[in-house]
Amino acid sequence: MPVILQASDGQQFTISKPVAERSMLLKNMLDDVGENEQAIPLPNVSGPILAAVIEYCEHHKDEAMPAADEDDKVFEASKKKPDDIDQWDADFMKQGKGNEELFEIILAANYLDIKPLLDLGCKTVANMIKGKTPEQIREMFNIENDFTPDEEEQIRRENEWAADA
Amino acid sequence: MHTPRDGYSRTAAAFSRPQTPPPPPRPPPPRPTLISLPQECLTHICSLLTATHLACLSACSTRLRCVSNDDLLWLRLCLIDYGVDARHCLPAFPYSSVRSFYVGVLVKWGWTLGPWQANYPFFTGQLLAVRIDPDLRRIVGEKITATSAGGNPDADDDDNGDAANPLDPPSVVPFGTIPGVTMDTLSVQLERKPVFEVRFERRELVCASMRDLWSQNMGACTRPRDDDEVEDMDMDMDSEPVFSGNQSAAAASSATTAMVARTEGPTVSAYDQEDIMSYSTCCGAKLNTPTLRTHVGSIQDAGSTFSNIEASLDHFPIFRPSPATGLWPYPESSRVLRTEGVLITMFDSNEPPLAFNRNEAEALASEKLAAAAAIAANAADPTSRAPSARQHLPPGLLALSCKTKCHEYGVRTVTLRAPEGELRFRPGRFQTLWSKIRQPWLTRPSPPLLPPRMLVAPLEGIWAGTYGGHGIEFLLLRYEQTPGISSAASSYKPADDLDMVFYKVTGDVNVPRGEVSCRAKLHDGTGNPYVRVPLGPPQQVTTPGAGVDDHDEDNASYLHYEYQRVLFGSEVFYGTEFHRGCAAFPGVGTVAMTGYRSPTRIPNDVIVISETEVAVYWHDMRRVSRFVKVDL
Repeated sequence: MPVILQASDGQQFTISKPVAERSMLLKNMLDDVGENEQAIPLPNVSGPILAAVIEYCEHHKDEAMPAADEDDKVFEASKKKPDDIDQWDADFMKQGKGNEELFEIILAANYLDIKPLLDLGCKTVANMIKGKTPEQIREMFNIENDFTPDEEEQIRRENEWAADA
Repeated sequence: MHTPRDGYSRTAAAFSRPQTPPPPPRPPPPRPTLISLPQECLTHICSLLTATHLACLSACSTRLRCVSNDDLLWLRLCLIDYGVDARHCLPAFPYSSVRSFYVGVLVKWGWTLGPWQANYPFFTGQLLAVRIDPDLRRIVGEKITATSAGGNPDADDDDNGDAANPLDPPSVVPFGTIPGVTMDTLSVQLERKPVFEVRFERRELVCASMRDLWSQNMGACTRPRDDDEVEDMDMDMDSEPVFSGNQSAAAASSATTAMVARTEGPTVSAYDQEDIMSYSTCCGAKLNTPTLRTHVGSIQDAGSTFSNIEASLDHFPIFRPSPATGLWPYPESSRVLRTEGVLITMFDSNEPPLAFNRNEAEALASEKLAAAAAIAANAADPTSRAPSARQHLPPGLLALSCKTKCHEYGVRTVTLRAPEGELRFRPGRFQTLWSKIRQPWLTRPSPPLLPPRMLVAPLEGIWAGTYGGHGIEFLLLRYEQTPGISSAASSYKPADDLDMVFYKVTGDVNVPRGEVSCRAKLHDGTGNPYVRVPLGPPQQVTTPGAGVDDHDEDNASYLHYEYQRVLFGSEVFYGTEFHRGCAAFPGVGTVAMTGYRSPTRIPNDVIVISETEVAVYWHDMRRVSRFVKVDL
């Protein structure tokens, strides 16, 4: 039985249930509500972003679901490496997506509770941050420097150790 | 302002009434930016960054600073980067955030944490364990020694005169039913003697504390000093602020002015956070001298010291820590001897002269080449060896210098030049250098890929073992590929080509520190339920390798033994049946005459008792050593 999703701009998408169930939000809802021909409104996700999210879910629909408690083990010394991104995923994140689309995908993944996609988005952002100076980061993400001169001086001192590393 | 976080609350309520007509398209929310992402997403991104990247991110804006200074993120980095659970340490240290602790304590000093082996004395070596001591708010480096805790009351009943070694300690017991073989009893008690301390104090307190140390020190260090004291003062001035006090007159007059200027404030470091400074003290661990009181000393990454030593000495045998284990090799294999026909012997007055063993030297030479290549690859720029979290390999050498030269030693080298018969003596003074013992078990996928049928695998790490009259020595247990099968020491193959190897961290005048004490091939991991008991003295045979499991062609395999197999169970070690059976692995051990002359491989059986206990049956010596894993 297909599932119909409706984006914030009214665009509708018909997808199969296994694809929809990559999203824990939709999976739980389908479990609760039962099968239904009505469209599910997703007022926080725009059409183009929803299309991208669905493309991702379609590609990954046959993979095992990640363990739910993975993130709780903060103290486990398992190193999460931001650079081990699957080639398809890397291409998926690159294709004509600017920063805003990237953040919208992260928001949508967070909202729809699609953990691997959220991971992928965060890894992509982390890789963009790596090796950049604060000025370059501000410029890249259009961040306003809202520190007072005093704070700037304090931060400079706090970060001296990292400068030559 | 509308924050997406509010707009994205996860409620399914909106979907529960799908019968209502779809609402008109809402105006699109403002396009998101990095800093408008919800907190949990930003934290997620931060958790993928290293400490330095996180520091850069924190310098971008107020919101990012707030997110990236989160204690949980930095607790995680403490654990991942340095293996330190900062939750235990934070209450004791004067920092208000984990980030400051990470930078002030770990980035600056974290490279010192762990076990180290000293290159001096040449035979016995020293084991240094550096740890964070939250109780006293310090990092402390302690020299570890082990003594047998209490004797075994029923030990000296029936083994008199049976054992091969005349220096037997009292606590030995018979080994099962094998006649004439005794087993050391083992109950290790560790003793810790502080060698150095790193203290953390608020800036305004540091000056006073250091002044205290210096003034205490003046009283303590006016002992007779070495004759080369005066000229050495100049060299020491970099690291040695002193007061003039009742200092010995010659030194004071030459150095006072410069030194007083230096006492005004301790060195400020870029790693100091929240106005907390750190400084190091030497606890006066000079060998064979009365213990000195704690005094100011400086801890250095000794990479440059080491290259200075190498560059300045033409006749001192060059030796580098092994890249695989981090242990210092026996310093015997002078390249000069081999190439120019020069005989060199080194003396330390407390130890026998170093013997030259050709086979050992050749084995070392190849290892040294590998070491040189590894070091050259790692330290392309030797000047920038500042401790850093991002450095691929942590600095591997440590030196401690202080005014009283607690960690210097004197060595005499004797050179005999073959054609002319010229004999030369030359004294030299060297700084003790510690080399970090490599801990592959921290980085390797755990548990290591051991043979599938190995039920009980002793844990890699530092062990203590009994060596008859030499007492208890420290060992490093590693699993390594059998030499000669593959040269890729770091990559594990699941196959049956693994050896269980015990290296000596501390040694004795027979087999010195850094050498392999025993090595046993694991094959498929099953082991034997029996030990091999030689029926008589070995016979020389002409075909190498016959009758012996090991294939060391130089020594052991020319000796052919007739064996009797003697079954044993864990009751041998415990008096009662232990919950799992023990397994014995045929191995080879190293023995040598005093001064490491004529080292010989002899067959033994390595008996695995549990993950933390091993016994080694040395056939020829009719003696069983006990090894136990220690927590440093």
